[in-house]
Amino acid sequence: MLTAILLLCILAAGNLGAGDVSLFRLFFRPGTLSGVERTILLEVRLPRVLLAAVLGGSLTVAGVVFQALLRNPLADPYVLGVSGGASIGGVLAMLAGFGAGSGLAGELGVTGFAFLGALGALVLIERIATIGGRFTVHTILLTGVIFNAFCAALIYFIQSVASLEQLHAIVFYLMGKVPDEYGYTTVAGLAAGSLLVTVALLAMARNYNALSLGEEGARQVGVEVERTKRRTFVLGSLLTGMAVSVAGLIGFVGLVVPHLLRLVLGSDHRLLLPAGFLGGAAFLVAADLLARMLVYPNEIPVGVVTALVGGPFFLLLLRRKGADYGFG
Amino acid sequence: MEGSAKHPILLLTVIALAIGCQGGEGREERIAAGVAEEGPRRVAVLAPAVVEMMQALDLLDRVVAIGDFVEWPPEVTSLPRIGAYNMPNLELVLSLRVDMLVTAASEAGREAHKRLNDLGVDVLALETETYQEVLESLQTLGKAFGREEGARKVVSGIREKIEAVRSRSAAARRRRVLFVVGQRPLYAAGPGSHIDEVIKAAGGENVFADAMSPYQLVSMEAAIERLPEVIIDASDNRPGALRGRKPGFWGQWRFLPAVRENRVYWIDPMRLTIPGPRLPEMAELVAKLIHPEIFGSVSVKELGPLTEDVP
Repeated sequence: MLTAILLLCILAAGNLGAGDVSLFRLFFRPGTLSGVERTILLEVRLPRVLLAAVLGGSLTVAGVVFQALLRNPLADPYVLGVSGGASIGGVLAMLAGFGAGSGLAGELGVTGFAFLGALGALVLIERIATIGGRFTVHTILLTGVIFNAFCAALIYFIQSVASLEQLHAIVFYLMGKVPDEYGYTTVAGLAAGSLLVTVALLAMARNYNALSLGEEGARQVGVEVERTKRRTFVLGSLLTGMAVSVAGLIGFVGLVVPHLLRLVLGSDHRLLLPAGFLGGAAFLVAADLLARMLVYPNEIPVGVVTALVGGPFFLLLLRRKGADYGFG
Repeated sequence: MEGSAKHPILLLTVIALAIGCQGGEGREERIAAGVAEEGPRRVAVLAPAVVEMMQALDLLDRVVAIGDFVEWPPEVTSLPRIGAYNMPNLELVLSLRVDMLVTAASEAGREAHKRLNDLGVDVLALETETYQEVLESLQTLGKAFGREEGARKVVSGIREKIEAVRSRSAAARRRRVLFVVGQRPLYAAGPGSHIDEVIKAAGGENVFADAMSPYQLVSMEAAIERLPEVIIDASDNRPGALRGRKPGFWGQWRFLPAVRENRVYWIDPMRLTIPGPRLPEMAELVAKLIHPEIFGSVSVKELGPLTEDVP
């Protein structure tokens, strides 16, 4: 059913945009589309819509598994510090001159560096939090939070010494936007990557269910808790790192959509993970559609939409079903 | 000795009063200097636009400190820097014995401005976003420094040149212009910016005349769908950035009239993004980009960084 919703969202997003350019016309009246319209639809809009789907799915899956790992309903994909690393990587790349401007090389530079930053953070945090070969939920959470705070402070410092134009680029990178610049190959690559990681996480779905009994409880039913924790941290961080490198910090998706789905589907992770990908995808596609169309031809950063729309909507749903909502 | 305890206190009090008084005397001197015929002698200027206005009024020698983002003219770039638009470094301002701080008007700066006033530094906040505001600011500056006549001349000079451009381009068909101020994400110049006015004067029609702010995040789809005939891309300020009459990033959409007719220009942002006395030069430059058949074509040098030989 969620697949249907996702498809619906994609179709809607594909239909709405500049002028009269729409998917509808592409399928049913192809002859009427001019070359320009075709290009807009197929080269600018569709890749962006699909990218939004991949990003939404990745962030939501990361949110689901981090919430399971940390046994905390407030966990989002960014809490474990990888987003700080990605932001630093991206901002430093921008300062070094890989930032705004022409050329594919320039763009790969920022995104690539951001991802390297994410990987660096991943390794660093894992090293720091691992004591005696294992990490507890508390150490990894604290390490991540402090690392994020450190990165944020570093970014504030960078902002205070940056030139006006650099500042502009940095602020808007951090605000979160689904980029227009990527073609089908990149989007397909990102999709493949995130789906692979999601499948790997799905393999641990039963472990997540067991973890709701606590680590001791999970061990008693045969779950290899340490391995699960480690894998979850690494894989979830990869998803988050990829998303932040490409789109900056898009908030709310990874926090709210998992809860939305739990309210509707319950807490079985075998269902929650795939639903998370599809639901998150649909959510971000819809949010990006609003970001693109609400004040057309102007745009709003998608992070603003996710927060302003997602927040109240979630609270409404929580009030309706909240009495029965137990996390975990 | 009796009352020996009182002596240190008395001493401290006297010292404190002495320091306090010294500050007071300095203040009076400064205020007295401020109301002299020629206006303040030691001026700190935060906004790049205002520095250029000071230059136009031949007041550059009064400038003793500049804002962080000032990069033109070369004569001032080695002066001490005192901060950005809304946060001048109060200590530096005072230690440089600044009489007056001139800045672009900004709500966020009000607190700092009040504080400066209390400390004896006059603050002049000028609006500089539009053509009209630039002219008015020049006149206000003229008044503050006793250079009303000079300001009048500068203002009428600017007006004449811009109206000259406007009338020369009046008969030509308006070309659709996309003015890019930022990439990743895409920012365009919208209504209310001096850039928008320059485009109009130069015989162009801003494709984003319906944007909701002077510098607006816009849809890439819209930028393409509106088929701009001229693209002026001032998004890249890095040294060694692409300059000149080349398609660059926009070349991937070969159906754009601007690409087909080779009217995509990559220009140093400093040339066009600072509203001030260079407005006429901006209008003439943009006119060359939009209507080379009337105004002549532009040289690569004119698109590059500001230098003294090509103002």
